[in-house]
Amino acid sequence: MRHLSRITLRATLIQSAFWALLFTTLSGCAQLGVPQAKSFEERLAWGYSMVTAVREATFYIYQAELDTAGADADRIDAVTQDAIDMQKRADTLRQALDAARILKGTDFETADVRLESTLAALEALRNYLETRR
Amino acid sequence: MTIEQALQLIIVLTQQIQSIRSLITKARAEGRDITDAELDELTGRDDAARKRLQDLIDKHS
Repeated sequence: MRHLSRITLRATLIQSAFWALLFTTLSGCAQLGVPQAKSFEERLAWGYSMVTAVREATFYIYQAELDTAGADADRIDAVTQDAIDMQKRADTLRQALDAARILKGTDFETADVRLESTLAALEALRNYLETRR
Repeated sequence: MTIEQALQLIIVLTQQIQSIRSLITKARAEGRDITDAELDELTGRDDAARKRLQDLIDKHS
């Protein structure tokens, strides 16, 4: 019994570490020693990295949810729909980052505004994920 | 989520953080901005992550 609760405690601690890392990653990483992105290219690179982090996190969480769902078809449909939704959100953010990158060559000010609004949308996604935790 | 899955994700996110940190730190140390080639590498990684997630979705939808 004591052994079992130790395993449960360890699993809880690892999951807590995972959530803490995910939200720290998506919220700027200053605590993890990442310099704050300043130039347009640095902020763009940051945005691309975070979109990838969203996809990676979705992949592992989706996989875990599928394992938990077992043969429950309704549950599988529900978690698959969640994964599709996250993929679409990531696609939208990626397209916005690509558009800002292309626009930078001709209209820097508009590109900069678009980049900022996309990074704000990433922050909103982080907040959304926090409510789903 | 199993311990193994949580650990895998922690490793992936840590690598992601390490990667962006190295990219920015290296560019600044060399007195330059991030290049187009480096941005292309990041988009390539995102394309790979997208495909991996989409493959899993397609298997279950």
